Amino acid sequence: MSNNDQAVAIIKDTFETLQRSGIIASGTTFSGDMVILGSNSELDSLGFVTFISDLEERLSEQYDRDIFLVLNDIGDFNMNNPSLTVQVLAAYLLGLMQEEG
Amino acid sequence: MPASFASVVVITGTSRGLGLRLAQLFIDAGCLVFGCSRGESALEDQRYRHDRIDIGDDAEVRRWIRGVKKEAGRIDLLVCNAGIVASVLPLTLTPTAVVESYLRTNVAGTFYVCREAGKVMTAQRAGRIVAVSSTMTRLHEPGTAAYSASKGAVEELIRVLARELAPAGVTCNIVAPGLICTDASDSFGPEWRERMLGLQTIKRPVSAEEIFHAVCYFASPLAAAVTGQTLYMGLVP
Repeated sequence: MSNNDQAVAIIKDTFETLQRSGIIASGTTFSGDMVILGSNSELDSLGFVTFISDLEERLSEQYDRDIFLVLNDIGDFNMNNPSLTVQVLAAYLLGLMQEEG
Repeated sequence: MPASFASVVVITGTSRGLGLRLAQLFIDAGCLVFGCSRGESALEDQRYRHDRIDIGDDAEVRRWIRGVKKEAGRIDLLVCNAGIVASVLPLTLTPTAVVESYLRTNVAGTFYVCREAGKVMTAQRAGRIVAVSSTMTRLHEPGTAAYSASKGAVEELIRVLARELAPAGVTCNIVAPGLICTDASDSFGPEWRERMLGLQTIKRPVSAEEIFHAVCYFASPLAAAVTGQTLYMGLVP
């Protein structure tokens, strides 16, 4: 993963998978500002767990190594922000993949 | 006992004792069984996979469960059986290392396995978790403070998880047998065994087959509305 667009694209793949399975409402539009965790989130707690699990699996398969998304680390990365958006998660993923790569 | 409703079964602590017997019984019932322990397993079967891991190590648990998911594609039933029974000492004489080992394996280990398998079950919107506890949590027997506290913690963990995962169609329950004859329980000697049986309502050891039957009940489709429950075996609590 070398740029932000790739990170957003893989998050979008997860979003679309969850939308197809009905976990995310069909009318929801994907965007960088979409809140994944926090107030006004498109996901409930079970939806968030499913989202993160799907994303971990997708990353691990695509990059052929074990990737684990640790909520505490994401929280530290997103300090002082009450919501986790697609853009913030993408920036976190990019940093994580470059750090481990 | 038909167990075809749980085709992929994950069991912790399968190198010996109850875990080994449960693994064999689920294999015999036609399930694909994934077991783990710190040591090797004597079990060899084409429907059995064994990994050597320490369930007190969360990274090892994450890799193990991910491996299971990758190979089997799903987890229908998780049986949290692994646990240590290492000493029978009054609390005031129990070494720190002993209580820490109980908390690490029995409590944290169960927590990690439930967390990782729970993610898989949440994503698949189905699953069954059954933890093995003990009647000791109801007997308050001297010499079992560290062990009973760890099993009490497991029971509470499972009840909370039952509420958290119910919306995902996952049930979480507890089987709490009285004395089971294993290498671990045998190591405490015949006197201790007789004392334990004396505390039970049904004064004989509980068999692995009986525990398997109880686990199968919780795993069955008709138990889909049963969650957060403890089934005591051999004792009126």
